[in-house]
Amino acid sequence: MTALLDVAGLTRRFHLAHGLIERPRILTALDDVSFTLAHGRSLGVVGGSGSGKTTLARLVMALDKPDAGTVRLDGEDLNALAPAELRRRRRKFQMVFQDPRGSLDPRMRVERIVAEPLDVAEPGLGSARRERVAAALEAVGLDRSALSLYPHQFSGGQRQRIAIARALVTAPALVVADEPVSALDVSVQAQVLNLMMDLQRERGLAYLFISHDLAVVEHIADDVIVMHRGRIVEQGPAEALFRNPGHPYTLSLVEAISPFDRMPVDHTVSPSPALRPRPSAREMLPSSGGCSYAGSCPFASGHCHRETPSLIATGEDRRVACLKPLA
Amino acid sequence: MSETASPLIAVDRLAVSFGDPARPLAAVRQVSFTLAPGGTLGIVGESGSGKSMTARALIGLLPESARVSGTVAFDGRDLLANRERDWEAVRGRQIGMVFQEPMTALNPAHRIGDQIAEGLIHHHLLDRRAARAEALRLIERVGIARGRERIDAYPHELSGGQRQRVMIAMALACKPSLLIADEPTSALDVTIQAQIVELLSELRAEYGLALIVISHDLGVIADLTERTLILYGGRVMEEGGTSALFRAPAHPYTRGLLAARPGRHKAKGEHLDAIPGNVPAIADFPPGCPFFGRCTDGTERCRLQVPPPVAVGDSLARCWFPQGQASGGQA
Repeated sequence: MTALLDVAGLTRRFHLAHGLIERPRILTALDDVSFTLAHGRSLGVVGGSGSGKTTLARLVMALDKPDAGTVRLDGEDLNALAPAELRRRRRKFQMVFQDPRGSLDPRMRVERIVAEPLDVAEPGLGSARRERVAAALEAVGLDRSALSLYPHQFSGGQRQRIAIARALVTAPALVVADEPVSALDVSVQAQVLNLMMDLQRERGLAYLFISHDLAVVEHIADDVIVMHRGRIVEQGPAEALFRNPGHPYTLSLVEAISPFDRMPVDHTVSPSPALRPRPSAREMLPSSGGCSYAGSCPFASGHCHRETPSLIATGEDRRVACLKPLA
Repeated sequence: MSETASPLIAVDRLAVSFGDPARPLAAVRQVSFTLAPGGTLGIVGESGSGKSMTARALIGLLPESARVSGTVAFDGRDLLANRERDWEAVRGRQIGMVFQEPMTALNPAHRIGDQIAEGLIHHHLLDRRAARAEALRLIERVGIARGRERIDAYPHELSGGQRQRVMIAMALACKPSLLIADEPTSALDVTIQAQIVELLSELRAEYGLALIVISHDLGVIADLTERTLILYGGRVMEEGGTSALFRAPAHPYTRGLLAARPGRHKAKGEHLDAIPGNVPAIADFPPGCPFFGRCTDGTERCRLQVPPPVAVGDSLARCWFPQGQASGGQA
């Protein structure tokens, strides 16, 4: 069966202009990233800033072009489509951004905001357009009276509902959600997560769910990819990966979940502060060969600084890019 | 259980409001707490809870338009009576501050070593040369590698985590007796967050600091503080020992906040126990309990009358029906 989303060898480099004298440096924001996502499933993407999460989201959404690799949706290579074709295909994949304040145009009424993807993918709907928009608003728990209001007339949680309605209005199969609840109050986050889970069950949506909040990812995602400096360092089923991390970076993320909302970690190496990543002088430097995590890794040996580990299967559905995997 | 020894800071009925005095917008309403020397206090709240305005009142950084009442006794003086010149002797000297976004708090045009040394020179604690030596010691103490090179770096040359370490070094330079950290980890990656929490915890013990941590992140509060104040709509909803309060919350709002987090007691994909509704705008809070309208136990009395503090175990809950006793009895 064809996966809904099939990402293969995706690579994106940026040229950093760095003054007049220095040679231009190249930052590899995304390096040979591959994964698949089936209909109706959720794939969580976790990693720190600079890990490539947002670059990945932009490439999957065909908002940016890769330097190498492909993004296939239902078997179709998005970057091989003519612009007009791509616009029509956008019906099938939509995005929800982190901050609804920034992603909703304050000068537009809600009707126009939510209708935007519809106008791109299915122009000329006529009177059916308003009905589609109202139905999307109702699906996220907003009254159709919202149609004529402006974003500032809503609370943060309601604005994120509007953003979700906009993503749903074309009845997509895939929603890319980049930190969809991070900007919301704690008391409102759970509402939006419940809504997203309900919509998934009702409509068979697949989510590419990007978040720094591991407790949220663990709750939502079926599978997880862990990214570090543009590479996938670990991927696997969420439950197995969180309970028994295979990559030291994954372990550091799991360790960083406060005991307050940590699930029990079942691991041969008992969690202790010594396993926390070391503050590294190279924190943000583009790495030059070797494992990108070696500078912070408490288990790294000289070998790790020279050889770049590739992603290797360590168990059923699990892959780890580490010379000395933990699991 | 307020501190019996003379407190370092005692906040009594602090109120901050804005706008038309006839119809004021109350951002902070009757907030009181005390903190002993070396003690730790967490202040938890969401947007509109008044937590940041409370912090700003303690360090004299409220907007010009704010009206303040109540007292903030620090070391025996009422800080609210301070004029700007008086504040300079307190801020950075006796009370250190760490903010959420170090990039906005650091001066982008100055080297980090100079910024750390500045307070020491300004307050005449050390001469220029000794201040630089102390800056280097602090840079290394807060965990920035290669301190001798980094001392002359500019803020933009550092990562977010390193900038937050610099902020902490600056806040500690003059050896204050109180450190106020407002969302100290919220802008950082999770693994860096854990390091900063650990650093704050070590330094607090090392310097014998009193610490006030303001955050929406219950995990950070649980890791760093012994006592916690839960704010909502500008009012204290509940206060008590942090671990007791998180283990057995008495106020429906505290219970709601704790239950809404995934990962604690929910199976994967199960509905989370969301608190219904939204945080209202300041002008829209009811005259009584601010949580009325979102509380499942709310009654007409809750809407109209501000509940007094009720002892529940070791906590004080400002609720007419603590622990869900909707039928009227108080615990």
